[in-house]
Amino acid sequence: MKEALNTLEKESRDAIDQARTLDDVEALRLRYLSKKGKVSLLMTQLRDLPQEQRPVFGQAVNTLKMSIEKALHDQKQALGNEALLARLDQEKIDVTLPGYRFYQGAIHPLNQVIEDVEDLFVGLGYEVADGPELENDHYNFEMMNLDKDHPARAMQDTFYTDETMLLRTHTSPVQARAMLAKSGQPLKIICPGKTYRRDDDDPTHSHQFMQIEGLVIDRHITFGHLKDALLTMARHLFGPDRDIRLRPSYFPFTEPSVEVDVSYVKKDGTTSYIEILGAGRVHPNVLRMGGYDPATFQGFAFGVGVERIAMLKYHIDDIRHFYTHDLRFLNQFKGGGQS
Amino acid sequence: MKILESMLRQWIAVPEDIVSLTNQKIIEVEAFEPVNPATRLVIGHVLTCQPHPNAEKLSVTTVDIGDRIEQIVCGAANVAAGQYVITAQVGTVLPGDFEIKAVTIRGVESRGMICSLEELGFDDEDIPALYRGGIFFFDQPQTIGAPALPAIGQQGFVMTLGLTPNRADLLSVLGYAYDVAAMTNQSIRLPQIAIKENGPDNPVKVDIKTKGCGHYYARYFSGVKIAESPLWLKSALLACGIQPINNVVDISNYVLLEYGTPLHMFDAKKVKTDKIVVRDAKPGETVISLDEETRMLEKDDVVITDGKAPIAIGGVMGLLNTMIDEQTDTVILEAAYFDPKRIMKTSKRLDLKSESSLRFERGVDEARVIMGLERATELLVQLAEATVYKGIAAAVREERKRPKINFQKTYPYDALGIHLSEDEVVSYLRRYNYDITIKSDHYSVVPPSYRNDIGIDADVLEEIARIHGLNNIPTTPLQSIASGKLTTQQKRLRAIRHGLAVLGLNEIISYSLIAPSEVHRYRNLGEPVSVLAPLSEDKKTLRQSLLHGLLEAVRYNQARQTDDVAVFEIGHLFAKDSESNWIGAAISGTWHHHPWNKEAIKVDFFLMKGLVDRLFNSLGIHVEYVKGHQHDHFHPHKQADIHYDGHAIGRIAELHPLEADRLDIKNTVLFELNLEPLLDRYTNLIYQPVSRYPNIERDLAVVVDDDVAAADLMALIRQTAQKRLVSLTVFDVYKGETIESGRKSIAFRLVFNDASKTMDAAEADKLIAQISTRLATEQRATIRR
Repeated sequence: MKEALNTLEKESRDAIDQARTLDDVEALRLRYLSKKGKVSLLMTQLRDLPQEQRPVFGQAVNTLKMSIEKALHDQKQALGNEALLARLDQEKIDVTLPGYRFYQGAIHPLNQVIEDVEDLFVGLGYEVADGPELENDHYNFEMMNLDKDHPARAMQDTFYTDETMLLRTHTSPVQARAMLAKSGQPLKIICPGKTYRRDDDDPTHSHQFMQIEGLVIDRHITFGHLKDALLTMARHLFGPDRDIRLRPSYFPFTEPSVEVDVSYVKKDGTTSYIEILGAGRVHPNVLRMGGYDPATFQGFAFGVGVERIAMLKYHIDDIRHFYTHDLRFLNQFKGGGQS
Repeated sequence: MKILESMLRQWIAVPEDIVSLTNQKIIEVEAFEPVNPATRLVIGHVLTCQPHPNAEKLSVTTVDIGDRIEQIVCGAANVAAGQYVITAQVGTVLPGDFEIKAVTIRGVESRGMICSLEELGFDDEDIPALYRGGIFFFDQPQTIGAPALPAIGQQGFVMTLGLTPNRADLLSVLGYAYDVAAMTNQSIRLPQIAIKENGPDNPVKVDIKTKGCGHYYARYFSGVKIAESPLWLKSALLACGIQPINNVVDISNYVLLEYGTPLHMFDAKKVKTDKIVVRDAKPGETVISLDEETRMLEKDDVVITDGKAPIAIGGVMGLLNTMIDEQTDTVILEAAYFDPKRIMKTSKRLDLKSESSLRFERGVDEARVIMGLERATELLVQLAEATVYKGIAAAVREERKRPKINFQKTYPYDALGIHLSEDEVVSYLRRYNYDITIKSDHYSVVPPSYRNDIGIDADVLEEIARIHGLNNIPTTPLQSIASGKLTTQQKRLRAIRHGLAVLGLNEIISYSLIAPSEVHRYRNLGEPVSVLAPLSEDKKTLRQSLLHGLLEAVRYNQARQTDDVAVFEIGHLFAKDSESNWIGAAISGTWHHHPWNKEAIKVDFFLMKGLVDRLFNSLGIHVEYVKGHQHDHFHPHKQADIHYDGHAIGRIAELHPLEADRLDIKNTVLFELNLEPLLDRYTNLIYQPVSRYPNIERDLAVVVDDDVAAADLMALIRQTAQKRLVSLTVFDVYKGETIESGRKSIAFRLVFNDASKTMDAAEADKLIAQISTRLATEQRATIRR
């Protein structure tokens, strides 16, 4: 009997090793392990054995059964792996081919500059204020200390829509409105937005452009506070190694008024300065009209051209690029590009 | 304003750092250059002049140039021995980067050049007739070997100031000199002008009968010889951009530059009386001005008259009837102070802007009115041999009061953040020529007469700041407890902008002003608003839709081989009495494509709808799409109103093929909506517990009439199933053979969940049955099994 067992084991092993397909494996399973299979037939011989040999033989048959089962399973696994490998070989790709092209949009470079400046000043305790672009000349000019005869109020410089309404020439009317809204309380705002002037469009002029103005009104505000805000902004926008230089200038709404230059290193290694913005201490008339007593409250204000900042920052040569919608231009500003 | 170094030097020592000093303490320097760029020109003395042995028209000269004698071949016909000439040496660079080299001309060595004025950069018309076409030579002996440019008034720099409207004082070299003197701690001593009055009494009587004139002075001259101005005077005017005319006109222009005093001259023989009356013009009075234009005057114009008829428009322009000409020998010279506002009005209305009117508009220094008159008198005697009549005819109506300004001693520190001693403040202001009175706690100061821009304490503060040095003021961080923040609206706006950029759209900014004929093309928000004086017809009216710019962006890029365009804009739209913030987008071409695999997302209505939903869902905003009024420029069946809170706030559409053709663009989908109602609303988000029980799914396919909207079916389903329905999607839409014509099949997938227990199949089936019944009765739906 033992011999029969050994023979069957050898035979099954050889057969399973030879199996080349899953069907072959299934046929062998039927041949050896089904109810009428060779292993079951061995079990039927159990009855012919003496009682005392039966347990030993039974165990041996079971061991054989388990070993065949394992061999079948292993062979099936091996054949499966082979088949999978064969299939995967068919799925070879060139991993260097380009992938699905998901379009990446970009925020307009001018709005990137605005958000960048907003974030800086929000961190310094400012709020962001906005207002209408179609403005009353009272807010745009009168409250900014530009009297009726001021040359800037001439038709050739300003887009009027009727006797009193105009397209704002700066974002200062937002400051005027903010002052009135605060009714004499301290104020720290920046006002970004679109502005309009009656200039023909050329590489450095645009009839529509963007500005950011800042205004601080509080007690004990000195010129030194203004300089600190300007230096902080210049370094934030252009780099920590920059310096600023102030030059006397004139705006009706500030006194003293200054133009602010920021330093840059030229190709030959020397330092030079380029104008970036105008600023000053708020004119007492503007404070008074805004509801503040100039004896108690002082303030400073600054205004910066967003296009100018973007042009300097990104070395853009023509202001009209911002308004031409060329995707080859706009697409260069994805990913923020901010420090 | 141009500042000539040679004129400046009569009053002050010019510091080395004049450009940076001016920039940092006075005013912006726009340009700085030499009056004449020629180098190493010296005065030479022609010792000999012989004909060239080999050339008929040339001469061979020897010229003493001080340290040596050079042989120079000269081609000018007017060269002669004994002349003092301007000599270019070997190595000299003349205007136009022309370098003089040692050369041999027809066998004769030539080391240098005797210069013509043309070679020095003069235009033919400005060259005295004597020297035209030939070399220049001096009419008197000169120092041999001395630099030549100063001898013809061409030395030194010319600096252009970028003037701001407040600094009227900088409209004269003297005014600028005062500021430089203050900055460099120099003092200016004005020359005493001594006029020898060698004629009879001045016959003119002056009277002022208008508020538009403060004072008026007149001198009377005879024997005036009109002639060409000397070279130094021409050079000075040319360097300042003023064309020389003749000695008399040039003198008044020179004094204007020097002192900032506008002058006017009348041909006295053409003035019919001995009277000068300054009055308001009569409305409708017509005159012919010097430029031969007939001008109609108004009451606010100031006229100078002979007692009856006008002889000049005060401060703006003279009249033809009293013009100086070649025959003039008797002159009345006027110096006056006119009301700046009146001059501004007149020159603006008549479109007559001159160097004189500019100075009157900004305000001339009253103290310099007489000074300018006397300086011009001195020059008329010197350069035009004028006989001066005795006395100045004068009328003074009103003198400007110099303001007295008081400020606390603590003010400079409080305002600038710098400690200045009393001595420093006083010394600064004295350097500016302020009168100062020191009181116990404050200063009382009076600015000099030429500073009419100084009126309040803040103006004086600027003076202190710039003389102290703006760059010497320390920076002081602002100590503030204010908390900065963006408002909810501002944050939402940013989220929308960033959301669209992340989704793959490029932000654009377009012009608010568009052509009036286009304004209602895509949207009508009401009566349009136009600017009164547009730069061009296509930038006249404020837009009422963002689509103009968005579609232009599509057109611009598709015309340049970029077919796939996805753009958005956030911006204001305008109508009479309304302005609101909108968002819009346009997509054309393909979207997110996979080129070599030939796959792409089709750009159609549902792409845009998906994007809008995705964008606003991320903000917790739910919008609806309602078939509304049909708009002509959009596809008749692919357009819908976007509703929020039951109100139409915008539109989504595919562009009409005809409109796409007109714009020459590919099929384009778009939307625009009003952001104002979306940004305002803010709901507090409250966490909903996640159900612990499994979902149960059911599919429901119904056949309905073609024109039944999916949204209506879905609304009905939601209404019936209520809160146990957690998700509802359309998974199939079908029209065709198996469906009767005029009908369509829509299949929904419903996902149910009961948060309190496991929902069993029977419950779900019961809900489906209820839904089916309602769909059948309310929408004539047949249920497909």
